Amino acid sequence: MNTWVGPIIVLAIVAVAVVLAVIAINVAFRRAGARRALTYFFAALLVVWTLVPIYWLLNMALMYKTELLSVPTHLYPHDLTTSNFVRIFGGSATGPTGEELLPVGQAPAIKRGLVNSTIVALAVTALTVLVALPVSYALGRLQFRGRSGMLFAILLSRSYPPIAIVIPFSYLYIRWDLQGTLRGLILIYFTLTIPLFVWVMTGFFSSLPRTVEAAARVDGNTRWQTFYRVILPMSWPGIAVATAISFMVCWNEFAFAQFLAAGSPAQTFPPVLPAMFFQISMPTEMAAASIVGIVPPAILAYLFQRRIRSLNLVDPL
Amino acid sequence: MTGSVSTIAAAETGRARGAAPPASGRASIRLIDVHKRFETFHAVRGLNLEIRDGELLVLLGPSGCGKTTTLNMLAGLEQPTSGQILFGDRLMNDVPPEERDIAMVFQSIALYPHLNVRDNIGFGLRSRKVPKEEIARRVEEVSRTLDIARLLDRKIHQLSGGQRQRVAIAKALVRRPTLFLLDEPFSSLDAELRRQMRGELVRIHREVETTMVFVTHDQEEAMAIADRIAVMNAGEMVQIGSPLDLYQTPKNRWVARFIGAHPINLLDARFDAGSGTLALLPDGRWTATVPPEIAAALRSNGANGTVSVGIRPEHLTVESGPPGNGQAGGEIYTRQILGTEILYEIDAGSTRLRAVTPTARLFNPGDPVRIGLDWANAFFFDPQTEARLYPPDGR
Repeated sequence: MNTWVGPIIVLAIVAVAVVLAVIAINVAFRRAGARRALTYFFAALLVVWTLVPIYWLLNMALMYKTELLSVPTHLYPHDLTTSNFVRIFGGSATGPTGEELLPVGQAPAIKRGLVNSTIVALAVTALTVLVALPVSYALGRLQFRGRSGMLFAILLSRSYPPIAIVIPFSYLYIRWDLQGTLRGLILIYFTLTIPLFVWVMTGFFSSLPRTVEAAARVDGNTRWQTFYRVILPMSWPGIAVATAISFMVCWNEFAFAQFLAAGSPAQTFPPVLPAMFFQISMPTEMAAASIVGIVPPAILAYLFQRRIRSLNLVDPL
Repeated sequence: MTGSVSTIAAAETGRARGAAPPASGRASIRLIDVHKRFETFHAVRGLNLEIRDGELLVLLGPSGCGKTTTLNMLAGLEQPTSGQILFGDRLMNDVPPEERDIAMVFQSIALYPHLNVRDNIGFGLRSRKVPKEEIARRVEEVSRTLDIARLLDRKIHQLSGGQRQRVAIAKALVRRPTLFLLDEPFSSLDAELRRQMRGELVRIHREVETTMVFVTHDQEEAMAIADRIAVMNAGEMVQIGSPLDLYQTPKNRWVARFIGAHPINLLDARFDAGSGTLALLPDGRWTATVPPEIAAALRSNGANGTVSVGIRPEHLTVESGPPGNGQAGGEIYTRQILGTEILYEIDAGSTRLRAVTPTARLFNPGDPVRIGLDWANAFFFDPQTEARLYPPDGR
């Protein structure tokens, strides 16, 4: 019991502190300078809160296992090494005392997993955009019978966790010869990404001013031309967000991947990590692999965030 | 000099290319028994309307009266449930907006936020495949007319409300369409700017001589700009005519109440057909013998007993002294000095009357006054049907 009470208390205290701080900033400090300083202070606090676990991962990934086990704990690697990264990709390295460190046993699975994850995430995301964009436009901008029912059904399909339906799917996949295949994974990931994409973009489309579309029609555009000449350019921020989220969902997905593809040539990256943890404990190597896994979504988030901010569409008239 | 000649030549070809051929362009627009039903709402109910070539017609009415729906049907953004919309002799019911040669200015100023001013104005021309140099030239030209030439490279969100509205109008003008539709285009502007834009619109209309249909709920705006006003209420057209027609001969009590800067006085009067006397106030403190001409008109309409009398505030006289024959005594309740005129609210017994007088003589609240009316400017309405009984049409 004590294992989870502690973290919850810490979380609660931090949450309350942040809320109080925001209130205090706005109520107590009339002077712009003081208010700005405090805002930055608490923003920094939030950044620290978010980044510390990632820092710790990096700290572990850049240590030898022997250093990780030393007491007291090292807050930074005293003996910096990239050997974990080399070894998870199949290379050998030299240990702290000159001994040879062999490649990690999962190296082929890691490399293969990264390739598979990339293929699956890109394919699913591309096809999702192709399918879900027109669907969201129709749901967001047109009035037709059954519209709200469809929206509700789409929301409903995201209301249960993948693990709840993975067993029947597993049987079906074995029978249909989709178990352990990339196309099997791609197929099932649509059930995650399409509802998500549709939900985000339907809201976005319906928030666009209706008269802009009417204006485009009157300006001589067919409904289809209006869609790609006016609606799409205006919707770029929303599309970017929905696309990035779809990609990340695929990249990070674990439950389906574990049940439908683990141990097969189609195994994606996420199921590799627990294998490194449960079979033979390799914390530093696993940390390095985790860092590798974090990189693509992080780059994506960074790129899209800049794109969204550069398109100043907060005021759509 | 050769430069200017070629510019003129280019302008001529531009007109020929951008606009529809004159034959179909110069023709009236007719709406014949047009209905529009939405799922639960009957927005337009049997509208018959002819829009003359080149006129500036205002669709005027309270919100929800169907005027914007009518405009959207003219634009092709909505299809009529039944009835016919004809441009010239061509049935337009199912012609999509992009195939009608129209330009529209919207209430919410529908500019494209992802384009700058220049590209916004040129957007409609680009959609219609007008050559690039021609677009550039026409955009320059129209932006000089509307005094927005220095804004061409700005983004839309960098413009003020008035500037946005100018861009929206420029975007419509540059197209040289055969029909302009304007949906409350000035309602988001402040009073001064609105007045200025109205003047500008009338000037532009005179210049381009293109048919314009302008929707507003503001009778003052309608009166200020219209060649003709079509007054709508509850999905039906109540009356159509020049601004003066509507002011001088409102078809019924509702129009009389809707038109006019100051709300009209409506009195539940009693008419005695036998003696030709009219009791204007319920307590009998204002009785008058109506002129024989009016009495005859009322009798021929079968009026005896209750009749609704409408007198505009500007047609009541307010003087000091005890009431004479055909006048009522009253007491000033409030006073608003409007500048060239003064608006009084006057208590005459249990009835409160509004009167507008020139600023020559000033009364104070509490002052006793006598109120008179000019029969030539009084309206008589049937209390049940609200139809006008007097004066007759075409006064």
